[in-house]
Amino acid sequence: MCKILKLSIILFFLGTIVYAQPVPGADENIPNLITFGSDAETSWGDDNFCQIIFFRVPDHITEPFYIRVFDPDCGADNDEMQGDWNTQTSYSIYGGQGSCTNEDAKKINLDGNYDDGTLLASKTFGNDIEHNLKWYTFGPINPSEGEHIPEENGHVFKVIIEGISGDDGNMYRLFMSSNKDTNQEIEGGNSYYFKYTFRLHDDPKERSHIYPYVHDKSIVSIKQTNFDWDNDGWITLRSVATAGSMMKISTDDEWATSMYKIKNEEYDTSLDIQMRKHPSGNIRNNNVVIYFENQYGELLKSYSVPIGGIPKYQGNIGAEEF
Amino acid sequence: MLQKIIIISLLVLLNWQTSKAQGLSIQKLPFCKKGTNEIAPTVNDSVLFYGSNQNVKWAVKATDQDNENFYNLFSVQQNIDSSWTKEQQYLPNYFSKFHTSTITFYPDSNEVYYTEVQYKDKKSLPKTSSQNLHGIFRANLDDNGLKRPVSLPMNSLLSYSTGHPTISNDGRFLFFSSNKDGGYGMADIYVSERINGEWGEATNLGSKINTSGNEIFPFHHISGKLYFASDSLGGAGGYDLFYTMHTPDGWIKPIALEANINTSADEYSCFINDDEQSGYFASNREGDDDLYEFTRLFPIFGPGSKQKENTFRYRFYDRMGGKGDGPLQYVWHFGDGEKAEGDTVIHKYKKPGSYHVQSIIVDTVENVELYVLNDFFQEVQPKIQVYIASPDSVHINELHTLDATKSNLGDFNPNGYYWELPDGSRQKGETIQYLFRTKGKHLIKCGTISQDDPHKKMCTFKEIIVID
Repeated sequence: MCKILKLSIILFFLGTIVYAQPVPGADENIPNLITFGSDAETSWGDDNFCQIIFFRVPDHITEPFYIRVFDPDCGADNDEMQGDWNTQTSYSIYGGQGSCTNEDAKKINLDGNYDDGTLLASKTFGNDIEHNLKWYTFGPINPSEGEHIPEENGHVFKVIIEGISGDDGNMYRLFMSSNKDTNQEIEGGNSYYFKYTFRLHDDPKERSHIYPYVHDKSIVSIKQTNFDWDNDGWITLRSVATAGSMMKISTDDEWATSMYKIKNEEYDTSLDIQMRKHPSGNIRNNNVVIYFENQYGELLKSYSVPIGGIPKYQGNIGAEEF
Repeated sequence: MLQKIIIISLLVLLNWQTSKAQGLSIQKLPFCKKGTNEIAPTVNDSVLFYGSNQNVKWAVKATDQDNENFYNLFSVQQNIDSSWTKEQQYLPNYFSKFHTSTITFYPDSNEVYYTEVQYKDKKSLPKTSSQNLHGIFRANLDDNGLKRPVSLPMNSLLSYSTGHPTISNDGRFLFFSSNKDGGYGMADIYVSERINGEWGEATNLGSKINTSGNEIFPFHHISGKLYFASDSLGGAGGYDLFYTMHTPDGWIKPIALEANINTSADEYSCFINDDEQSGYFASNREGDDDLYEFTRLFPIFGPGSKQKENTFRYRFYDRMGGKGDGPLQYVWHFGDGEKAEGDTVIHKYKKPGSYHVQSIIVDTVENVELYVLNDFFQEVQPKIQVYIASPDSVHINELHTLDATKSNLGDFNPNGYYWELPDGSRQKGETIQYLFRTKGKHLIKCGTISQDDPHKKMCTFKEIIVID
């Protein structure tokens, strides 16, 4: 089966059962995304002060939709202050040709034409108390304004969140909604990213997840890379074929990588990257970065709701009397 | 030799009688006549078929080269009151005018197989009947009689006889007897496999079964047992009836049927009913060859299964072995307060029960439980079997209790417990007393029948060492 057809089937299936527009997703159990101002120290947990999230609207949706941001400002509650509140964060929504397929948009560094495409909406927030802990709505946006990607069976939009000045950490959440004032999921819509910058739970009992999707049999191994994990806790990989594989975690302001060899059973399934803090709970407000590449250095998509569902380990237990 | 067996003419005692040994009833069938031979019983659709040399023509007596009556096939049925209908010659117009002695029926088919001499007219007969060459024939049976009889490829018109066909319940194998050259003795048992509707080359069943003497009249039972008669495997004398079974290691050493079926006279050619509780056989214990019906008063359980002790000891492991890199380890919580660490662990429960088992992935460096991998209930129950509670070793001449009350039969609904004891005696009861009178290693067997289906049985044997 060709890749496009297979992906189409997967997405069609998704479209019938999945509503995946909150970012972070419920199954990810990640409290907030975070983007620091461009003057921040990378040791605070953001390597390049930019986050890119993609939203897909399936072909059959023609009604305008909205992209909503919770707590878009950087001040007061739910943000990380460094000295005074002085941070400006811009939210830009792109559509049109190249906005999502431009290779620069799928890379971790903000080089080249990562912001290619048509700018559909943009707004910069500072320490704006009127937006504190509130939802701000972009749109309405016509689905046809996105970049049509045939293998995705839909139009895809790119949201770039950049800390353009200051040094505070702006924490926020996103939602693609069919309604301007409330979060109403779009049937068959979903969201994905190639790199994630977010804050971990402080509670060691909480377990966060990221679900990279192994879409292609040409993938023989993946490399996970994480930044500024402060050597706190665990990243373990679980899947339909792996009960648990420990991945290397980084120290303060450092990168760490580790490899994982893909098993046959894992093709066309999501991996479950589990993250939890050490029970001592010594480290708080830990902001981190993580991404996954295949053996060619191409970034893997992670979906805010795992394609095919949360992978369940299929190794049942043998219990034999003897 | 086959000829010798098929054509036996000895004086008989006419009156039939019943003998009862322990657990066995034997009764001569009332239609067996004085001065005639009745052999080779087989049952198909509640009709008993057999071969007999009784005269079939009024006033004109057809005889063979030795002036003996020819054998023909007969059929008879048992009435509801256990009496038998008048015997009738079976399809008199379709079989050989000379000797036709045995018949068997292919399962779920209209094919019949029978033994008869291979001559069309009396002129072709050899000088003496002992020189007759018998063969196995196949024909199709319909309402109008037999159609298209064919001689099977294992027959010989020149040098040897084949006969006594019996077919496995799956229709795949044809067992028969033959005195062809190359065997172990005079008459051996062979098997042929049916491939694409044709019977393949005959294979000798081997030296465990075939001897330098005669092995004849095989009968394949639905259980897989192959019954047959031998005059050289030991036993009570003359021809005796034995059975063997095919296992992955080949045919087992033949086992003689019990005393009173086998006697110092000749016993051969049997038909055993599906439940093995009853059947028919031929014997010349009263002079000429007659058919006898036997009924086992105790259930027959076959070899049974060796008793397995209830260890309540389990091996736990991850079937996929998916634990990946890093200092991760499985920790198993067994649900009884105990736990163990390792990819594969062994745990012995103290008593039956339902235990909540968890396998947990643990970081062995930090000694932190990361997550529960599997979570299930392990049912710990005695093994489903008839369980014989007794000492493994006992002293001679001491009375011991043999107890089946600890059996776990699952949903099997037992109808009594039956014991087969080392001295050949049998007892019935959930608990019995028994005295071991000889030293050595002895087998005791205990079985039960289902109340719901008498064909369903469970049976266990246990080895007991008897010492001074």
